[in-house]
Amino acid sequence: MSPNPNPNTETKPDTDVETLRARPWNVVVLNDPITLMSYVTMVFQKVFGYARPHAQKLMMEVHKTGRSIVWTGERERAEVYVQKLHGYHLLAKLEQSPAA
Amino acid sequence: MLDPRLTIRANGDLQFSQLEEPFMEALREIPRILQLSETDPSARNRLFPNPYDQDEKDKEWMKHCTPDLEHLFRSAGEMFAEDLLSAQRDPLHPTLWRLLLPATHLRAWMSTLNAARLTLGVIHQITEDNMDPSVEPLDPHSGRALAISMIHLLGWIEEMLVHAALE
Repeated sequence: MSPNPNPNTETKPDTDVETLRARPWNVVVLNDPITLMSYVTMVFQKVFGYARPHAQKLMMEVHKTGRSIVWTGERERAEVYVQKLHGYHLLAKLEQSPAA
Repeated sequence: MLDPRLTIRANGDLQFSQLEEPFMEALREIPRILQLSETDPSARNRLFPNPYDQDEKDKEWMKHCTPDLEHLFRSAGEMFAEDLLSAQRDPLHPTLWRLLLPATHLRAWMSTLNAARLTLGVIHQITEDNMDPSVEPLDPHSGRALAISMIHLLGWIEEMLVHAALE
């Protein structure tokens, strides 16, 4: 970290950048007309370790509304989950949570 | 509950028995269908989608993550094709087939079946309404109708495997 060149002035953190970095990432699964509902439920159970009722609830949300946020957290873990979902050929996206 | 044509052995391997010829024909078509995803951009985009909708981040994704996913896709397809070669006619019912699927190949089979169904769906632009004949009947001799039949046939096998995976 470089020293403050003028000790009489206060350096403020770049709050916009910090806020952006702090905002969590959503793993979003989108509906498609082909993938079996039972398969989507099973993938949620395998990838996230969700109990069957929760996995089914998320699957139904995907089916009825076209999308569901299936996990939220730090970007690196979100990417790992999306890569796993893509390995099963689910249509998964990464979206940063909107600012509060 | 498992379909009686699929049993799980004590060691976890899966045994298909009394599979009718149309199912075997559908399974044999899969390697050819998967090859289409190598040449058809829409199928490729569906199987290997970019997750960000942001150019820079998606470029990074394609550089670091897509090659692993392509490798997984190809090795699953190879595993599937090798297992299919071991299919034998059922000695008690010569018009029917039996097929042994090692437990460790189950995931590869499910993702391969799903990839083949998705490829057909994208290439033939199949919609939710197309999948329900009561909503939108198609000319039964059209390419789209045949693709939908294949999607349903492979879906039936995939459904059995999903149930087995959760046993």
